[in-house]
Amino acid sequence: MPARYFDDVQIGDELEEHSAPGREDVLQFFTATSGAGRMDPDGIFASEEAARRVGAEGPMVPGGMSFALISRLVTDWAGMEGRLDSLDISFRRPIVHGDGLRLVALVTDTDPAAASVKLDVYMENARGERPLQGTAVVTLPRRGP
Amino acid sequence: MVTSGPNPGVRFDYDRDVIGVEVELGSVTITPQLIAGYCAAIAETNPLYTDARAAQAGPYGGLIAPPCLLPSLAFGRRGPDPKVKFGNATLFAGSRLECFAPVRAGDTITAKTQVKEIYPKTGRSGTMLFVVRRTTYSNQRGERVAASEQSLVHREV
Repeated sequence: MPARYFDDVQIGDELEEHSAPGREDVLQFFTATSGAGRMDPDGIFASEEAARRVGAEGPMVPGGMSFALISRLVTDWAGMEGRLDSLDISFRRPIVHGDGLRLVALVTDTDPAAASVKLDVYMENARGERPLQGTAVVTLPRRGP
Repeated sequence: MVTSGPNPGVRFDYDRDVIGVEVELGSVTITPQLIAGYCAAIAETNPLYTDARAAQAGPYGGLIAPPCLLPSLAFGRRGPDPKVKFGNATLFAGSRLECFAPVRAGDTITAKTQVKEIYPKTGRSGTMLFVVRRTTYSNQRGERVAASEQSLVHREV
């Protein structure tokens, strides 16, 4: 994995990838963390009917999982020497299983004194809606003298 | 306790007494297996989290956990319950994570949580009640490694 240096980052730099988390992915996420029984007492992440009761079009991708996916986009970009300082996310509408998502992070500010970078992050679905958006702050290494 | 809402006639029923009361949820040891399972579930590729050998040569001298792992974990006990009686749907509204120090493979992390605040808000889709929980995570040396705030919204759909 190539290192990401603060000196090379510019405001306006953008990174993106695509993801379409489905039922199996959600199950794997629950298995890896703490189990669906605990995380999904209402069944909204597995059951069509339960999800519709809370206004979603189908079983949802849990917020913790979409949070993790957007976090990964940023930490993979930051490389091994980069460090995520904070991630602040608002969930604006449900993400349902199989939604084709564009995961985007856009550099909006840099702080040379701290070698830190601020990014706007969001997910965009096929309807052009942004079910998740927020900001991330990372600190990056500087190139040697 | 019943609290008046921002609109006449909208009332919320919840227990104010739990606000600010910190409760220890329990401890989890962050094993390499736990990290590997989590990384597989989110298709993580950063060698800091996925490759012990590469991570050893990296800035932390060993494998660490992805920062978003801690807020995803169940730590045993549940936190204080404000027993909200409002609306017919509860959804995740927001999540904030602050990272202070790396979580290394083998660390035992203890989580403490509290209900930080409960507040109503009225928007285009009607009145909602937000419950914000703040959780802090410390390692076996008592160092605070991370903090998260998670906001749930109670609403009528």
